[in-house]
Amino acid sequence: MSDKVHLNVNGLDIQSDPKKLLIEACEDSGIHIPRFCWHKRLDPVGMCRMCLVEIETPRGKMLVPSCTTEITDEMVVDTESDVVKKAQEGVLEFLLINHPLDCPICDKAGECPLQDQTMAYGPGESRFVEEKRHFEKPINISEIILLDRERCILCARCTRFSDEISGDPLIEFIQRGNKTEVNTFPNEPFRSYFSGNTVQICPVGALTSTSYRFKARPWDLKSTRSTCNGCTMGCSIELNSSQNKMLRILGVDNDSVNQGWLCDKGRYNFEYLNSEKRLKVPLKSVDNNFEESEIQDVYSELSEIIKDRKTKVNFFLGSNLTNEDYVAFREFSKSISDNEQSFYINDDLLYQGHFGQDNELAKIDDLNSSDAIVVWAEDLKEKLPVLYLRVRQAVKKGVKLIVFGHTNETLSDIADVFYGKETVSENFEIIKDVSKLKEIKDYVIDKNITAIIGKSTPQQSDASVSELFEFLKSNANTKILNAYTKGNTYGAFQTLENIKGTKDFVKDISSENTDLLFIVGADPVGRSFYSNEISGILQGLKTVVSLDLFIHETTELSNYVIPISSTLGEKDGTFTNIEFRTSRIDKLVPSPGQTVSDWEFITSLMNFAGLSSNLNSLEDLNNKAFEGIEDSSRPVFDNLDKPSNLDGIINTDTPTINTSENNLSQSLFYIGEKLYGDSVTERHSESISLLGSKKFIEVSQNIVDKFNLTYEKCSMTQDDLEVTVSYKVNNNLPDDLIYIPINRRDLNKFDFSREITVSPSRVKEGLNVN
Amino acid sequence: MKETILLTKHMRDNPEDSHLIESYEKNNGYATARNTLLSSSPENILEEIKSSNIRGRGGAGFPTGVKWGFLAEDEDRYLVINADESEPGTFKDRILLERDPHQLIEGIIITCFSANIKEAFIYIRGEYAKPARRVQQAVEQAYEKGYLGKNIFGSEMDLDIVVHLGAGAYICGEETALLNSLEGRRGEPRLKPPYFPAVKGLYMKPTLVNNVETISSVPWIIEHGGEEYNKLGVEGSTGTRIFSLSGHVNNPGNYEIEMGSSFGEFVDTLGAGIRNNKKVKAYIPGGASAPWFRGDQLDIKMTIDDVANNNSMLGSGAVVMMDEDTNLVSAAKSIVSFFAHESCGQCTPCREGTTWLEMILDRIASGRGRTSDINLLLDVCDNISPGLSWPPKMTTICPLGPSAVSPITSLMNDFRDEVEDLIPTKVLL
Amino acid sequence: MSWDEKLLKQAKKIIKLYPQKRSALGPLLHLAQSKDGYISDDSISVISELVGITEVQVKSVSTFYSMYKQEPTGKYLLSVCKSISCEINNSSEVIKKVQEFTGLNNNETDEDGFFTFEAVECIGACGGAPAMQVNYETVEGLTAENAINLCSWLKEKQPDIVVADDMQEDFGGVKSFDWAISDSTGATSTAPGFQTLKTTKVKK
Repeated sequence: MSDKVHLNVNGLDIQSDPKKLLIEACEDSGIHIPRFCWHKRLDPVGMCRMCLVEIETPRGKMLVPSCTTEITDEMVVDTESDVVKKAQEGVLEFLLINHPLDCPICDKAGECPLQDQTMAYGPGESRFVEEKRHFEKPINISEIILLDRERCILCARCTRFSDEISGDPLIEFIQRGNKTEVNTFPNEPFRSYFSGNTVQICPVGALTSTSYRFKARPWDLKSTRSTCNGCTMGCSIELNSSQNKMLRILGVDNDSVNQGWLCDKGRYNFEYLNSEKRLKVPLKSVDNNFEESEIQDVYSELSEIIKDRKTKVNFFLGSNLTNEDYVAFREFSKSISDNEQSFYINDDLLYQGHFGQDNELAKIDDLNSSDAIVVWAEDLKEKLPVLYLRVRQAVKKGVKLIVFGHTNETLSDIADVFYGKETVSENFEIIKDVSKLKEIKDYVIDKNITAIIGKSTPQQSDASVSELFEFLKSNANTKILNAYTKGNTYGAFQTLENIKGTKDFVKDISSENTDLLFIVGADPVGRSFYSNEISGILQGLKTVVSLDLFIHETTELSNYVIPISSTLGEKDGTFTNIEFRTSRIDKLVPSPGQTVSDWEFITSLMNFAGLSSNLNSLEDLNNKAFEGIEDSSRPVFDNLDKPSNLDGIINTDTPTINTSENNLSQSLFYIGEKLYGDSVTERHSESISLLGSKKFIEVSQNIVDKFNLTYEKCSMTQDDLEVTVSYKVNNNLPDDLIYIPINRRDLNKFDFSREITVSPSRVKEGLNVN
Repeated sequence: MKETILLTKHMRDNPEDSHLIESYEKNNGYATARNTLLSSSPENILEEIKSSNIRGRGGAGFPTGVKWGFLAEDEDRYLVINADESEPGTFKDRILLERDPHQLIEGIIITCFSANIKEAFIYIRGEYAKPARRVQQAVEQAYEKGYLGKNIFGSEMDLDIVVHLGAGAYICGEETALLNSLEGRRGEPRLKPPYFPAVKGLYMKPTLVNNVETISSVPWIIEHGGEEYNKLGVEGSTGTRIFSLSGHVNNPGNYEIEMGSSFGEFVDTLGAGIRNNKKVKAYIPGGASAPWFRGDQLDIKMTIDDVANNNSMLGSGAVVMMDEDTNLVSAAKSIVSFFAHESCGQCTPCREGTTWLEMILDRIASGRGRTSDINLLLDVCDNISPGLSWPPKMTTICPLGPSAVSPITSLMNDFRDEVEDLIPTKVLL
Repeated sequence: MSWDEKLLKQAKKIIKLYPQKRSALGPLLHLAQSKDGYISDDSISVISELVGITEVQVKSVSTFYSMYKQEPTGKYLLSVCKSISCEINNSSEVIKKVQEFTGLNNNETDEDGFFTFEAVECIGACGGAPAMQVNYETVEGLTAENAINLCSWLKEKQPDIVVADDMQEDFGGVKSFDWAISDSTGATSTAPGFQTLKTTKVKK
């Protein structure tokens, strides 16, 4: 006996789930009702009045907005009656009386719901002869978003998104009635990590991105669906290009992962693909200068080194590689040595984690169906932004949220309980007995918990992270999302063995055990917590080969620099996300010059060196990556391309992570990373390049008083290194802890195991180069 | 005809200090509340209100007893007094607030007893500075005497009243917009369903929203019994009501009468007729939202049902008389302009449509109208209120949009020639 | 924060009256206006912190309501009603004459910061049409001439407290109803006095 609701729409019998909105029920059955303000992922408001339909009531036919009407059994609906058609024409005429005739110069033309619905449902002419209302157009409401208030139809999608979904309502309706406009507060721009989503959902060209403005018309665009590899969320994206240049990235509605949303970094960090500074030719270091080289010569010289199979080779792999890239390096390492190989991935926070049979791994959707979510990890908003949105969504649905640690203070406003500095010490240890905390008793014990667990900072001890998880496991029905955050880390987990991180790299690697080091898509000297040590190590090694897109601090110390195609849009492959969900990465644009894919390089090297392999194509690598998984859920290309699998296929796994234990260490510094930094790709993506340029630290008022800090800047000094930074007071921080984002230039050059002197800035107005 | 004095009794008997608690108590004030709290029951009070058949005095005229009966169960329930009187032509709540605030407070106490409510808000429009001061003073006097706060009159009941000032928005008179305003938001009406105040009102808790005059009537009803109240007036419009009379009359003012007489009688006797012996061209029976009646329709009775049957509304009880010399196009423009200015802006037809109507009327009034404008006006009105029927259908979220349509349909139905006269039919070369 | 201790104390007292902090937004904006004569950006910042919402959310509310002025106002806010009952009783004449006298258009303030003029919607004084308010103290039954006399008087006397009874006696005419109670309270600012604000005083 089904519990479906039956209704009659335009004479057709359709059925849907109870409590479904009429507009959605009709949509699911192929009956389209026009709309502007309604969006599947936002709460309905019934403001635009475009979705009016007639329903039968005991008092006759009534016009109701279908986006706010829930279906009831035996409802009789007419979406095409004369009254409805007149109402639709009327609403469109009303919207158009003040709407400017901007189509020829408006980005949205060609993919514009207002255009489309006017053609389909609107009047042929306007009868408005008076003057339209005017605003200054357009205005920058942030560095990356422009607002044209004349075009705005006041559907409130953007303001509702910012309020409901991303929780940073920095845009709102101002004024009343006919004078209403969307705007920001003076000197408070729309600096949200999710602002780009408002551009995508705006039904007209009122909100536009600076990166796409005037660049193309939709009918010029080539598109493909792919997966973002910026963090371990693996959001579904659509890539748009024209004339072989990547122009735009849109969010795709993947119900299980990102539900159509993207963070701004995932959306706008692509302009580097077209940068003039891209490496196009192999480089070889000769007498401390780089000379251009032929790729054949590189293969030849490297073959000489490896073909005796006695050379000690090691790999330092970045997180932006595809699964097929990882497999290629794995097979390569097997072919040049019989020894067990460790693979070092570019992650300062890598630790054992909690996998294996007796640890139940969570899916992102489990957040919505749990009783409570417990967070004890890095700052989700900076490192896994779309997961932060999913947590917010779960809380809105009534799931309880318990947050440990000031690292996630951005969740404190929606958390049911936020355990800040009174519970979590400067050393990132939980200093109270968790079992005695009241809210734990109320919300956690014996309940269904999804735990988001990971290290918060490089110096944190492994034990302090695991202790909480063990408690949750023993006292509740707990599933875990291991909060590793970097790119295709989970792809590495699936395809490689003996995985270690930068900490162990620094411990293990020396010229004694490494003759040849491959650094693939990583810049640890420029970005890592261990940058100084790594720099020292690299300088002592005989041969270092860097595979990357741009010159950076690490390539400066390499012997060979190989130009590589980007995983974003320039090659095919697969990506595995935090749920062990594997999905497709698609190529859309050609890569420049002599760039090759990472896997192409290494398999060509194998062939050149006469090392056997059965890997002749990407398909081979793709098959190899997932051999051992049973056919129906094997994420090989053919299977992933099936319509039912477009959102990805999950195959959980137990990775072999062999990191050494991190023991408790005293530290006065909380080392983190902001979403925007000065990575080489961001520096070359013009629209967003300035967003990650500011050097700053966060301190408690105690520190400000202790060091007599004044104005807004201070100096940080250690040996010869002096950096002037802005500082911000954050009283959620423990008294003596200083927050330092190391993905801002120069800040990662300090040795955080030693003291850093903080003093008032000698310059009242610091250099403002950026 | 004569006035029937209930609501305005105390203030007439004690004109100099009717707003002070000492004066109010001298006239047996708060006795009904005391008796209620100490010896009656919530169900009894509800029964009396129901049997009085009193209908809301704000404008919608919904039966108050039925409204109270809808209130959902919850630990937190609220009463909100709608003192946002902003309907043009209306000034009846003003006299109650200025001169007899204690009657309102007593009514609030009895209402909250009946509905098991511990917190009440009086939302007074911001422009009513003096009435707000009087009410605030009265609330403070009541607290001092122990008639508000904890254990009122020594009973189990607690009650707090907060006087909250609006800030100049007519739309906040709409009950759900008022609740939004009281929550510190923009005064935008909510969707009903699902946000019926009786179920999901203030802070999403069950809330009673009642007009000042309605709650001010409660003490008399409870003191004399619902049956007695029911005997006054006529069926469907029981009790007494204060009508605000203004416009071109000799004696404008507030008059408390039983409903049932005709408008003509009302204006001629209590209003002392039209100034300078002019004839009535048109009149508004119930505030600016109400469609107009012609001068030859003065025999319509001042009851909710009779006015409704003649395709208008008794609304807020504001009667505005327009004499034979009135420029009705200007009058209509004034009303449409009011609604355009007060539109909250949420929904497309009202936000764009009311301003468009104002612009068209402005062109016509200043001699720049076109022959197509009459049909245009009516069509735009039709897109706000389909069918131009009564009671109005809406394409909008709340009735403000259709209210702007009322003067235009009145103008076109009965005074079309005045509009046509303003539109040039010949182009002067 | 640029609100002094006293004002902050008043603000916190107001917030305590309501079950939810955000409800205090309206009264706090009136408080801000009583201090500055309008809603300054600085006040918005202070209020946003007190109530716990973003500044643009505060501005969204303050710009919705006509009484929260977005620009500095003069010492005397002249609000002349233009709604239907006043309109058919010649309020347009009053409006025209007052505008001429003050030299101000709608919503304008003169250079000396003395008068702000606005033509407003119904102020609930329809029986005494045409009517106007000075700092929200109502004067009913004006003629155009008396309206100007009132403005002249304000300019000359510059009273600290604007008392409705006095203005009505000297310049008013027909009233909406008998005011009855003699009342010497009045307004000292363009923010209405109520609750703990005490922006009204008794004229001695």
